[in-house]
Amino acid sequence: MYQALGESIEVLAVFQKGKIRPLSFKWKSRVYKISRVTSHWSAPVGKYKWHHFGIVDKDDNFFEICYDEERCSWNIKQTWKEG
Amino acid sequence: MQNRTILHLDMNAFFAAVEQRTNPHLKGKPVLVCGNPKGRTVIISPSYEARAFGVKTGMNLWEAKKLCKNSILVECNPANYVEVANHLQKLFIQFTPLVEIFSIDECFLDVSGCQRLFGSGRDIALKIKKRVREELDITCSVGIGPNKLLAKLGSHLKKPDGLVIIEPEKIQQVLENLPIQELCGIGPRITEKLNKLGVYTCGQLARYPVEILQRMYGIVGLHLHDIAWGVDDSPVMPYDYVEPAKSVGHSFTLPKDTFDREVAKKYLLQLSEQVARRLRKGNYKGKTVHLIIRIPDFTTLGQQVTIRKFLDEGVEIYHTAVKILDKFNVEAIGVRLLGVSVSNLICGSSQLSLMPEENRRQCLIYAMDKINDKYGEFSVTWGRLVSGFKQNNIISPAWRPHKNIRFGYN
Repeated sequence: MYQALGESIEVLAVFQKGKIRPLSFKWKSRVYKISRVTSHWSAPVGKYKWHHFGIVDKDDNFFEICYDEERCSWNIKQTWKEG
Repeated sequence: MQNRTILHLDMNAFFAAVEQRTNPHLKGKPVLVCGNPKGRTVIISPSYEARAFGVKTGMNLWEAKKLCKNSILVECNPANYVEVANHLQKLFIQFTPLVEIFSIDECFLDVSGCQRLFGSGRDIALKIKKRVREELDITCSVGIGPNKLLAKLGSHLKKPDGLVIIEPEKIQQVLENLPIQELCGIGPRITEKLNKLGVYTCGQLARYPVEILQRMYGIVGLHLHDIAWGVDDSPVMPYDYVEPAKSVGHSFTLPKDTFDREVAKKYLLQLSEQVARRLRKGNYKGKTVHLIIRIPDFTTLGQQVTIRKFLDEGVEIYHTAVKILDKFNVEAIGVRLLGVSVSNLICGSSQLSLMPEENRRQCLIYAMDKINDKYGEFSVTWGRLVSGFKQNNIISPAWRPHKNIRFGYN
């Protein structure tokens, strides 16, 4: 089931040609390398957007992370826990 | 309208498939996409693994959970579905500009004029299916026919991941024993009425005297006769065609039934504001206000009022809706769902009023719109709505892809 998080994180990402590609992120002092971006969608919040990414790390864990365009900050929204 | 080749593409269990694509841990599992699982909601899209247990769209959560105990509830995420739908639209218009969006997960393609470039209708369907699978990791069913009616029927005949071609010479064979409700355009009410006449299949409907159908249903009777013969001349509209809105509306299922008029009025105010905001965004004004009330036993009641003035302000819509609400004894009947819509629309009318008071109010609403555009919906609103409900998880039936999508290769 999904576990809601909503915590601020540090993300290493490439911003190129209007696209964002997250590569790794640091959450609770641990660095997670992103092996695959499964999905990307954006939702407007006023005139800015929140860019959401469904990602899978090297250990096959799923996370949803989000980039807030207005504040230039990253957030971890939720993760998947089996059972 | 001869020798047309129309494709109907229907994404299989679209919302659930997008969730399974987003989170690979959901693949192969019974997923139930619903509204807020903590509130009163229904199943919006069950995955095929859940459908195998008998779960259907529109079922109550408890009902679905009873049928499929191991199912996984996932709250719907419209922004994700819209993103995938936009990608699909970009893919389709690489084949033809005649792409008509029927809903977020269904569309028609007229490929009559592009077969020299891309091959037969079947070849195009196979190419599209392959790309949808490779680029988006979801599947679709495709129906191919000489018109939209038969193409849509074809895509419904084989799911999931089907491809059905209805050749013009086999139309009567396909339709003869097909139940009438399988045809697009024949809903439960018409089905019930026709069943009472002893008409159950399309073959029976085709042979039924058209004069009687016309007497019963007027112009619709002629249409029923035509579709029973597989005739449908409606064109596939180009992807950038936007049909003018006929009405703008919102509805909301309350978290719990209420018998309190003041509570109902609060919901009514927010719904009226939402409707007004969409009217203003589309540059529409309307003068008929409809109110829909669904009471706890699921009976739906409704009334409409047409006024002299064209409206696009939430408070004015609200006051008109309250007048209709006053005709019902809310304390006795209770309210489960409320809906407000405005019809009788005109587009592009913004005349300055002779009354300074009214002009001041229009300026205030313009300023509120500007603030809400910048900071998000309901950033500034009426005091009564400060602790209002949120209703973000909706995709309007009038949803259309982004306007910046252009025909041709990327």
